[in-house]
Amino acid sequence: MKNYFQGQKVFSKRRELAIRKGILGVLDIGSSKITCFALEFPKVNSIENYTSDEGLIPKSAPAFRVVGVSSTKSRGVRFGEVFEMDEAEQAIRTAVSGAQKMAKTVIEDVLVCFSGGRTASYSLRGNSKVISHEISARDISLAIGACNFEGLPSDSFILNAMPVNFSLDAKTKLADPIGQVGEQLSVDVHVLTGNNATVQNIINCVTNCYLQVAGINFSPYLSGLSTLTEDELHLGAVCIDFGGGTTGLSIFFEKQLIYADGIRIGGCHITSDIMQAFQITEEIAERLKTLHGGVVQTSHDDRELIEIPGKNNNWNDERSAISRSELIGVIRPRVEEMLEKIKLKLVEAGLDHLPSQKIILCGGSSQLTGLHELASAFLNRQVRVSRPMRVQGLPQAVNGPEFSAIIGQALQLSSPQDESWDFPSHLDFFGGRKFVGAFNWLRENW
Amino acid sequence: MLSLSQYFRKGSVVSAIKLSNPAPSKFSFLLSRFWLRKRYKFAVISMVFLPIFLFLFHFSFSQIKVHETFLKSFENLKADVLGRPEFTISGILVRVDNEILKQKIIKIINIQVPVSSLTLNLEDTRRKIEKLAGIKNAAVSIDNYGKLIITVSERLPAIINKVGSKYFLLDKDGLLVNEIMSRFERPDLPLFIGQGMEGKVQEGLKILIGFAPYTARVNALTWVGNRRWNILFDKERVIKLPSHDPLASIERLINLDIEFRFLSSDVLQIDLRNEKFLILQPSLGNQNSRNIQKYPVGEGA
Repeated sequence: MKNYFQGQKVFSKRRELAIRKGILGVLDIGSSKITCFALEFPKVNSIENYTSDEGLIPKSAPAFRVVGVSSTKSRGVRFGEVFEMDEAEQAIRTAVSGAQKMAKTVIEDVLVCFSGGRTASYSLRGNSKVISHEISARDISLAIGACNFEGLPSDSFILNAMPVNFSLDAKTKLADPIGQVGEQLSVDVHVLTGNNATVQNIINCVTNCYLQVAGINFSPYLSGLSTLTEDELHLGAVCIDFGGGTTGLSIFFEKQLIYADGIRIGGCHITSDIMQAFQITEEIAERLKTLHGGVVQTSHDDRELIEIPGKNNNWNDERSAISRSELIGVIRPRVEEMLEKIKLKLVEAGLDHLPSQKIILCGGSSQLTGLHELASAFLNRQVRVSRPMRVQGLPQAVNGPEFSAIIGQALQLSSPQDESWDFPSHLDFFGGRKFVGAFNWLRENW
Repeated sequence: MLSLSQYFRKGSVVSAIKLSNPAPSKFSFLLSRFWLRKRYKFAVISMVFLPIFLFLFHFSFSQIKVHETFLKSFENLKADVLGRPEFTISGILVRVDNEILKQKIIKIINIQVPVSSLTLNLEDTRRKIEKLAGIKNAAVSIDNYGKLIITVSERLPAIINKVGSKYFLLDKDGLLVNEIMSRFERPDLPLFIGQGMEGKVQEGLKILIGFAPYTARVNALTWVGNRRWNILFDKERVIKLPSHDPLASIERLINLDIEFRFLSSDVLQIDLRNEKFLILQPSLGNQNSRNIQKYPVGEGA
């Protein structure tokens, strides 16, 4: 029997160590930008100092403070995947050294989030008989072990395996069955997998920069954590993260991720459409998109002229003008294509069965004017554009919707959830493993 | 104009590419991470830069020219600082009435103005002044206008002490104030004769006060045998006082005198040394009285 969570167990151990050490980096590898945060964790007895600063943080959670922030233009990353190792490493080094400089410490371990990787969502179910009278962590791990992880594609890397629901005999919707009395325990595990090679490339990229990976996660899931309100998480909502190279979506229900996926179209494609349509450079196209871009035309837009450089792309020599409706005419089909694909994915995920079907937009491209109107018309659901929550010590400049994934990654640290690998592995209870376990115990508690 | 290959050789092309990408190289990234660790930073500084610095310091200072130049520039700097008008003392003000004492003080402190206040040791100057005779205590300070102010409180002479043929003025603590040439320079002060009365001046003054009705007729007090007092009374009469509690004896003498009036008679010597007896030596001219009369005094009388 293969232990699927060995890699993730190493990550979580490293994360724990880094938190105890006091400094942990968070790295968002996106297609348009690479951002690095340096998080500072106080020593246990000095948490009070942090609570008095801005708002209240529950004392049980590891309170942290952002001490270093750096964001740089991404290189060698397309569709959220590493295409050029060397260039991607350079960009990661730029971001990390900037954050280190601001934090005045060395970042040793990083939590990585990425948005590509051909992810897939699986719902697994495992059954097991309760061994003892009351349910213990061992029973849960036995039930998780009964899930059919062998059935997953062989080239998949498990990013996320969250026990989302427990059923005990006739009861269901249990968040934590430990201590309850029953006979038959079954667990629903939501497994999010990425392409193994893609994830390994990202991990290699980070380790080549002398950093240690303390966790790897899927951006749309993290964006949902930082932008959705408590009620939305509970009743069910969709978070759509409009990134640079990809657009991710994650569905939450009962405060658990139940589906996550991505499409390989993003804001960079809109920019490249504008470049091709008006024969201008990428910088000017990006500028046109952010300053004048939109998706809903009005009659006034025909008369609103935007200056662009002429034939030889020199602003001073020769200029021409386009109307705003022309620009919208270039942007809108691409956005419609994106929303079309998202709609298909939502149908695939079975969103219609959720009690609440609110849609929350985040990510850099969600700032496109009129996007939420178009989205609500297209998807036939209530739509709002959200900004991520506040994090202690975070500068205002990096609190925009484009930073929702990395902020979500930081927030996940303060409200950690037990993943499947946080339970003792079911393999530890059998055969020769017992001896290994005893040996490990001796080594750890020496 | 440079050819393209020359450009490459010079590295201009490479640097132009680097400008567009701010990424640190792998090596510089690693180095910066080492540098952010305080332990390594300390180790590098202490093991590499400190020895280099010390070697350079030693090497440069072993050259006599460097050394001299350094010392000279240091001296210049020192002189510049000392010569600042803020630190200069332009005058000395001695606050004392006595002109002779004033001259003495100015002579002993030995400060030629203008002088920098940074070179002065005020405490030392004060101690020097206080060592002078006739000065009780002194205060030395510098005011806001660059003047050295010396405030002195003098010792006041209380008695004239005659030792051999010399006359000294002593204050009431028996400390020397001044030497005078003749007793008549200070006729207002009482004359005490004898050596070694430094601690006993107060007692002598008390004797004089206790001898109140006849004080004006006292010529001098003599300190005898470093032990006891004699009062030299007018008409060359002597009153010998005991070493123990002379004040009580004086009081007794005054009380007896009220009754017997022998201080007004021509008694040559009155001896009070014995507590039980008052011994009078009458003058030779008095034929009627015995040579020595003994009056019993005290409780048993």
